[in-house]
Order: sequence, then structure tokens, then C-alpha cells
Amino acid sequence: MNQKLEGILKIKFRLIIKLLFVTLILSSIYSCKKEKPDPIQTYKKQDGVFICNEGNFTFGNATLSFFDPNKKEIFNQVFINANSFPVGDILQSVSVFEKKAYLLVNNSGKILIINADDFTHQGTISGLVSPRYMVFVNSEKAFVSDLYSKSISIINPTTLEITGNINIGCSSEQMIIIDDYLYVTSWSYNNKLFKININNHSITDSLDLQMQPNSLVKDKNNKLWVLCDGGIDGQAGLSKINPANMDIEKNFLFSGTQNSPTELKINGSGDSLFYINSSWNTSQSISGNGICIMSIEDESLPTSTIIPEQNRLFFALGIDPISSIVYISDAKDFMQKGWIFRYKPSGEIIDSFKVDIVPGDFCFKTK
Amino acid sequence: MLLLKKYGPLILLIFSQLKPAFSQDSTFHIRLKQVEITAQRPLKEKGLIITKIDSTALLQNMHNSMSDLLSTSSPVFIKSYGESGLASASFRGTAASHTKVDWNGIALNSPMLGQADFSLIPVFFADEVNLFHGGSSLGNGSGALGGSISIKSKTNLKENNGAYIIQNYGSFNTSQTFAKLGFGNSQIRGIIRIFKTISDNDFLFYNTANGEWNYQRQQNANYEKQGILGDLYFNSGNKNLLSAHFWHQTADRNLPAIMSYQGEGRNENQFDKETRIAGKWQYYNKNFHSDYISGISISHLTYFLANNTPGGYLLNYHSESNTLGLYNNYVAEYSFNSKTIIKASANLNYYKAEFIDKKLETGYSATRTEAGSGISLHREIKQWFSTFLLLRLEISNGKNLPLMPSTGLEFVPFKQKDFVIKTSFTRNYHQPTLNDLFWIPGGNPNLKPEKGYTGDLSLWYGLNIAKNIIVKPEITAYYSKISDWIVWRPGDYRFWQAENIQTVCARGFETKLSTKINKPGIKYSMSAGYNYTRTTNQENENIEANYNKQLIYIPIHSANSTIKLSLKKNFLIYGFSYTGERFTTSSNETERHSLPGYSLHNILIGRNIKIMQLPVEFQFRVNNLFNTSYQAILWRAMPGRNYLLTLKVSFEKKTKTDNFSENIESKK
Repeated sequence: MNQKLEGILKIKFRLIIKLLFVTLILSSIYSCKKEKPDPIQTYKKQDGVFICNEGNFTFGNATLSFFDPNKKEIFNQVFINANSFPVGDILQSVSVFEKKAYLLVNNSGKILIINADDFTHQGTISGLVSPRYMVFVNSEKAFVSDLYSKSISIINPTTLEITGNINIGCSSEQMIIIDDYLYVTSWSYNNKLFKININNHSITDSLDLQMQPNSLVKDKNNKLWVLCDGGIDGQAGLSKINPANMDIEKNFLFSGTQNSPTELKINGSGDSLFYINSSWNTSQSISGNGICIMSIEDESLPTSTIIPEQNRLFFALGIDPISSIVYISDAKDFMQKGWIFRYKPSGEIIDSFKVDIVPGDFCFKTK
Repeated sequence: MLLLKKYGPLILLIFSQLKPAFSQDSTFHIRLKQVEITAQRPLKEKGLIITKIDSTALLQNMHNSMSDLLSTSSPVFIKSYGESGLASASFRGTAASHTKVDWNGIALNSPMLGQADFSLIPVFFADEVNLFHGGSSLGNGSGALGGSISIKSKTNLKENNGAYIIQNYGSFNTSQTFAKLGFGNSQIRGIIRIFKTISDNDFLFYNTANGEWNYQRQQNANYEKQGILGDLYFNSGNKNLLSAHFWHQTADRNLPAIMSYQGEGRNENQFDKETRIAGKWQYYNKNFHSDYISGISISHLTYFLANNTPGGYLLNYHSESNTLGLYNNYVAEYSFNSKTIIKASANLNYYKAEFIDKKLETGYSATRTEAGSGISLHREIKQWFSTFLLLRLEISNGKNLPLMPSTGLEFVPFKQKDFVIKTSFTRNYHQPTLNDLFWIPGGNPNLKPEKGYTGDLSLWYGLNIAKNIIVKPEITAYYSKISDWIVWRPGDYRFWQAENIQTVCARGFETKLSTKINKPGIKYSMSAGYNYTRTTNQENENIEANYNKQLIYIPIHSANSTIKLSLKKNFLIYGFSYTGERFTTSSNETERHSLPGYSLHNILIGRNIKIMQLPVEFQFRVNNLFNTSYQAILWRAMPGRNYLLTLKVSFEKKTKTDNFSENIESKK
């Protein structure tokens, strides 16, 4: 029996070695073929809202959703469905300009350009550092703010080239163009608002605010409103600024250091400000977490919310510029699909729907 | 000595089973021994579930890190970022910090993170690797809610002086050099091991993440690791064995970006430097055996991330972590008779940790003093029935942990058969890590320890189906409930906080089947394992979608198998591992948020020859044989098929085997 076994094993050993080489050769041939897959789904969408699902930092699981408010339909993962490849790592924001949508993929150092109607990939602006937001001057010039660079990038939206940089010496966040000037906040561990000439790119003025100015809007009178979250241990504030002379016309401070307001937005008529008010610590929720609304004429901060947060984690806020419908995202535990809640400006709920991981920005696309 | 006289034959029997199927120096040289099946194991291990990693598996993975060894030869799941990245363990579906690892009594888990990086533990530096599953780990200390892994240095004082050198060269410009030198006499013996591994790690991968649909070379993934391990043993001849162990190692690793990255370029790097020294004193007397270990570990880690900006490289993140650990552990064992053992242990450990964010100039520094003691009674009530009871108490920074008990039974129901049934039940606690407590922002000094209850039932069967053919099936089912599980969750945007919020239930089973055929000139062995792991969140207070959902990155199904065949001077090893689908969201979304399962195959062929009287071994290894493209972590590129060529030359005084696997106890 022993000899028999030995014989069998000897034969098997040789056979295995032979098979191994055959397998090796076959598998090398087989594995060379790789092709671009076809799109999973095609779209044709007009009016609607892009919803950026940021995804988790370093997971590369950002996705793009599109909501059709007329049909009340939500389309999730539209980018990968139309293009067969993922958005990337942290979809920070989306901007629409001349029928194209620009997807700023923060931790992938790139901007993906898609057709705003069918979401097909048109091109990529690569070689950026950490893009956050994008504003357009015209079809030849746009500015891109950056978290991990000391420069704002100048982009040509037609050629998709980086044409230059504006060194501001610190990181940049949200931007607005009023007349010939670009107004930029520097949020990360900073307290600055810069005023930059859009033609010669020189910094003409700057202003010190409360710590961490995270968002800014322009009201109907062309006045700037900047919201600062105060950083980890600073006091939060909301400032009204005259962009012409950079004077602070109004300055509201939030009480204590536990308040961290974010996501300052304005309605289509430019007279009502919205923001998310939240404390540092949800397990010790202070009363007043939720969406606050104030008139640009008010002389004090609102004392209560119109939409209380309750058991949700409000993360992003958007106001439809035409209908003034309020879009709020709930990021849940940041590790699962979030939800969007829609409210009338009065605070009455309209509907809600599920999107994807960490919904973090809204972009309203109109015809 | 009486103890050893009584147990000596048993121990020898056990070791004859554990002895390498292929002996150590000439890896696959045939060493035959009539293996007898026996249900006998040391009384102090009865009722415990311990996996002793086969020394051939150690040899086969000698050039690898512990992460490769565990993922191919154990039920422990390894989550790995690839050759140059972090590898963390999940034992029985628990978190990385719930697997405790020690080397000669010194903890390898970082007191700051709680977890160990298995990619930084070279298998080459281990003589013995034992896995203590679940509650079976409590005898070695608390906190290992999933289980513990114990790495030891061992020698045989009767061994010949000798040395060997191994040079590997492989794909991606990978060069690995290993050298081992053993010297001394039957009283004093020294062993020195050194290694150096360097690789460009610039493998090609097909990028499906950026719309370019092309092959791309991995960037910024090169690494360099080197280390030295020294062991010195002194046998005083009067029942005392003294030993000293020294380990110094550095690892400089660049960390690659994920596949979708298309930025201007970034440099992400981690540098680790570790020094560990342990002193051991073992005393053996008639009925008494004691072990004293004292040790120190110093570790340093630097991490930075710099982005290439228009103004040049800009540092975005730069941090430094320094830790100091001091360890003292004493274990005494007394045998009243062959049927009763009492074991007592005491330990006193001290940790100092310092974290500095060099860019923001923030950080924390903290210390922790832990004292613990345990007592256990092991008793053989009948020849077919043994039991143990263990009680453990611990104090951490002046706070008492509740009593941790563990108890177990072992039955051998059939007289003539090697069939064993084991069951045990344990309550264990895991202390929050120093980061959980003190990290700024978000560390929570009010955290409670995590509390785990675990029970298991295990069936082992050894079957001699024919002369020289052994088949051993094993199955273990376990159930653990861990409450006050620490989770970092968003307190607000960009500010996460550690909280005791989750209750996790981890249950499943571990199965293993091994067969061996030993014949003159031929050796065949096969071992295969399959693990079913359900680790679910049982907390539904706030977020219903997470209730009863599998924790992220823990596969429900995993399996591995190794086949070894040696025929005279030739040998072949075929390895297979399967990792099932893993979820990447807490709500277990499937649509593009889960990673599909994948199988990896490796093959190694080798031959032993003699060149000018020197034993020389050649090996050729193919990893990822079928060039499988897979993701172990979301959008992290992994290498396709790659090759490694090995040349090993041994120098020895005599041609006797260089058997490091012999337990020191067996010669007493």
C-alpha cells in the first residue's frame, strides 16, 4: 500500500508542476484583457437638485444624487451609473455653469466635469490639491478654493486647464463674486475674509472675523453675510459686511463656545437667512439645535429654531432659489445612507427621501 | 521534576504531534516519527481553546509579516492596506483593539490606539505563535475580548552551532535578506537574527476609479524595514533558566493614495521605531514552576502628509507618538498531584504615552498604571473529565475592574477515541485606549471599560484512518456579547467623540480540518479552515438602520487552506484564502457599498540540494497566482501576480537538525 501511494504521489507531483505552468500561461493571457465597461444607466434630466454625497474621508465612496422636484423623484449614484467609474474621495461641492456640472472631489485633487442633463463625463481637471468650491466669472475664468493649499486656483472652464494661482497665504473656503471682486473666506483654523480683484488677481483688502468663517451669502442689497463657527473653543458669530469698503455693519455673537452654526444660506429673494445651529455635543444636546431663520433686517439672532433637529444629524442645508423650499440633510452616523428632508420656509414638512453616504451639499440647477 | 516526570511523556507526546512536519533547517527535509494519537494534553490547557501555529507555517511565511501568517493559517481576519500599510486583526469578529498580542510577555498593542500593526511583526522573529481564542485568553491578561496572540522565543540548548542566510528577490524590486546565527553550549546559548526588506512596491494595476481605464503604476508605496532580534539563554543547571531578549526595528513606509486620486502629488509617510527588551527567569522544581518576566518597550511613530501645492510641498499633517511601556509579570504553578494544579499570577504594568500634533502644536500626554492578579485551579476529576476555574482582578489607574471569572470543562467521552468536547464561559473587560480617553478633541475621560461575556463549545477529533494517515476535524462555536462598546461618533461636524454606546453581539464558528500522510520519502499535509462570523450591532436607540447589521469590514465568510507536499528533495506548497463580502456602511448597504469576496492563490515550489557540503535551498513563489484584481479596502489598489525567488544557505557544525521548535520544557 505504501509503495502504491508513493507512486501515485510521485506522478501527481509531476502532474501538478505541469498543470501549474499551463495555468500560469493561461492566466497571463486571460488577465491582459481589460475594457471600459458600458454605462449602467442613461439619464435626461432638466430642472432639479444635485446632492453631493461626500462619502467617508479616504474611503473614496462619494456619490452624486439628483432630485427632480417636479416629479418628486430621486436618482442616486447617477455619476457612476452614467460613467461606470466612481466620483472619488469626498465630493465637496457641485457648481453648474453653462449646461455643465463641476464636481469638486476634495481628497482626490480633481474636478470632474459632467453634462448637467445626462451626467456623462466630459473631462477632468486634475492636478489640484484639495478643491472645495468653485465660482465662475465667465466661460474663460473660474476660481477654485482649496483647503490644503495657500493658493486659489484659476481655471479655464472651456479648456479645463489650470491657468494660474492666487496666493493668499492660507487655506480658502467659500467664495462669492460681487462686481469685480471675489470675496473668499479662510475657514480652517483661520478667521479671514479676503477681497480679491478678479481681473488682476491682487488682494485688495481683508478682514478679521470670529474664528472659522465657514459660509457666506449675498443679500438683496448686495451686502455680504459671513457665518463663523468659532472653531473648537472660540465664540461663533454672524457678520454683515459692506463689500465696497469691507466695513462690518452688523456683528452678532453666539453665546458660549458650545454653539457651532454652519451652512449659512439665503432664499431666492435675498431677504431671509437660514443656518444650522448645533452644539458641539449631540449627546448633551442644547435646546435650539436645528434650522434657524432670520430676516436680514433683524437686530438679534433668532432665539429658537423653525425646524428642530430632534434625533437627526443635520449636516447640509440648501434653499431652492425659486420656491424657497428648504432642503436639509441628515447624515445619520456618517457611516450609512443619509436622508434629505424638504420643508416649506414656514417649517412645515413636505417629504423626505434617502440619498447616499454623508449628503453634504446641494446645487440647484435651473434651465 | 516530579511534575515533569509525570507529565513529561505527555508533553513529549504533544510535541511529537506539534513537531514540524518538515523539519526546520532543511525546510522540507523528511523527518518521520510515528505519530500517536492521544487525547492527552497538559492539564492546565484543558478546557481552553488554543491554536498552536504549525512551525512549517512559520517557516513558509518566514519572509512575511504576521499579517500574512494569520490570514493564511488561522481564523483571525486581517484587514490590510497592502504590503506597505497597516494591518489590523479581527479575532472572532471583534475590533482590532480586542486582539491582544504579546512578544515574550511584552504587549505589542499600542496603548494609544489599542491595536497592533501586524505588518510590523516579522514571522522570522517568532519561534512559537499561539492563539488563545476568546475567553481562553483571560489567563494571560484581560482585555482580549476576541482573543490573544502570544509570540515567543524558544531554543533547544542541545542544538548545534550554526547559521543560515536567506536572500529573496522578487517583483517590484523587492529584496529581502534574513540571517540567523546560533552559538553557545549546553549552558549558554545565543541567537541573533537580522533582517532587511526593501521594496519599490510599484506594481501595475488596472485603474477603474478615474475614468481613464488604463494600467497605472502604484505611486508612493515603497517601504524599507529592518530589525535585529537577540536571544540569550543561560541554564544555571540548578533548575533555573534565565534568558534575555532584545528586539529593535525600524520601518519607513510611504503610504499610497487611493485609486481615484488625481491631484498634483502627495507624500504620505509613516516611520516606526521600536525597541523592546525582556528578561525572563524560569524556575522548575518538583511540583513547582515559576516564570518571571520583566520588560520595557519604547516606541516612536512619526506620520506626515504633505501635498504638492503651487508654492511647493505643504505639510498638512505632521504628528509624533511616543510610548513607553514597563512590564512585570510573575506566574507560579503548583501541582498537588497529577490531577490538581493551582496557578497564580500577578502583574504590574506602566504606560506613558505622548501625542504631539507638530503642525497645530496640540496633543496630549497620559500615563496608565495597571496591576492585576489571577488565580486558577485546574483539576482532572475523572480521566475523561477535567475542569478549571479562573478568577482575575485588575486595577487601572486606581480604578478597580469588576471580577473577571472564567470556567471551562473538557470531556473525553469515548475511551479509545481521540474525541474531545470543550466548553467555557468567561467575563472579560477591555479598558478604553489612551486615545479614547484623552484625544483632543473628542477623547472622553468618562468612558467605561467595554464589557464582554463569551461562551464557546468546541469539538476536536483526531483520527488515524490508516497507518501514517491522520485526519483531524475541529469545530468551535462561540457567542459573545460586548456592551459599552466604544464608538467614535460625530458630536458635530468634523468633531467626533468617543462614547460607550454600542452593544455588539459576535457569534459564529471556526472549523478546521487537517490531514497528514507521513511515509518514507513522501510527506503530504493539508489543512483547511472555514469561519463564519456574525458580528452585529444590537443598539437601535437612535439609528434603526444599523440594528442587527454586520460591523464594517468584517467578512461573514472566510476560509483558508494550505496543501504541502514533499517528495524526497522537492517540495510544493499551495495556499488558498477566501475573504467573503464585506460591508463598508453601518447599515450594510449592498449597492456599491460592499466589497465583493475574493480568493487568492499562492504557490511555492522548492528543492533542497547540497553544494560543497552546504545545505542549499531554492524556492520559487508565485503570489496571487490567478492575477485576481481585488480590493481588501475600498479603492485601495492591490498587486496582481508577483514572484519571489529564494536562496537559502545553511552553515552548520554537524548535519544535525537545527530544531528551534523544541520546547524548553520538554528536555527537563
